Amino acid sequence: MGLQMLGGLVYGVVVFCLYLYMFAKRRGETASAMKKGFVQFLKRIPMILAIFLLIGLFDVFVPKEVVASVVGSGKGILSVLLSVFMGAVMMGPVATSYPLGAMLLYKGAALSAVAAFLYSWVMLGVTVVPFEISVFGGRFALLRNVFAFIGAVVMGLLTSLVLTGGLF
Amino acid sequence: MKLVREHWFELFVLLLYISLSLLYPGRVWHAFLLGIRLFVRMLPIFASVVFLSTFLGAFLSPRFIQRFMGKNSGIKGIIIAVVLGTVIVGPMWAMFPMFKTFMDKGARVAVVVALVGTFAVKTPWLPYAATFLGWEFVVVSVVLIICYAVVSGLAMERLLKE
Repeated sequence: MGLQMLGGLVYGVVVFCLYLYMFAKRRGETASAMKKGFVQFLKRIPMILAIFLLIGLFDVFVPKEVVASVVGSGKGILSVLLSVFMGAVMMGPVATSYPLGAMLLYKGAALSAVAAFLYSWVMLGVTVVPFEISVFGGRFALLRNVFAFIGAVVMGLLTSLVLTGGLF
Repeated sequence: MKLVREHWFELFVLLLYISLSLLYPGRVWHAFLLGIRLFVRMLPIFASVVFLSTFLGAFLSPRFIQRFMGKNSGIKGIIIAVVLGTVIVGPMWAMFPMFKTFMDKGARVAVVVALVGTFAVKTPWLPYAATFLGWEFVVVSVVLIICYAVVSGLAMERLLKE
């Protein structure tokens, strides 16, 4: 989380300097870019707020043990598919995904399932799909999510194949 | 009606909150606070990206984007996307507006998809990930993520062209 905050700060400073630099050179265009940014920002706020409020609900009403037991107890390809779904539903910083993955491995989950879970965590997000559609349009967003889903399954299996010699 | 069509997701979350708070007011309040806290924490990064994308929209010339990420950029464009994607940190969705700006300025679909795909690498987090999962796991996943990002980018480009 600390890194994410720092990242945000660094981004902010860089962007501010860019604006400052261009403001000195091309005042009018910079001002209009800033105005556009402000409008865009305000327009997107309700959706972003809704996404985080949904994450809050999920975190409070769905205990971690339930998630862990579902991902961990499956067998064969089913456990991999389930893991991908779980990873897509789970939200939050990547920092939490690694220890969770390690915990699942420790509890006896298949390596392919854990790997698929981690990939899906970063590549898929059920709650941000509406936002993705609003930015890119439905076709692109749908295709990207389908590819990310397939990717999580395939890469999960391949990770296990490379590291352990078996698929599950 | 327009309000419902454009903001169905926000309204859905609102309704969910109202109905759940009738049953579990305490836990819903807890969820609300958690959501707000995460939201506030993400706000600086999100604001920066939105302002950066409108800035690039104003000053980045389409010619520049086309040269490095456009149709004729070939393998160079893909490599740029992979490098750029692996070094940026932050949540993927927050970068969507910026990637969209690239596309509007003439970047190839394959390049943008590779950029989104390699985002999963998150280089600054790798040492941290390795302490939990081991370096072998980390190396294998980085290689797989990069390969898949490039392959899926090319495949999506072909599919979207039809």
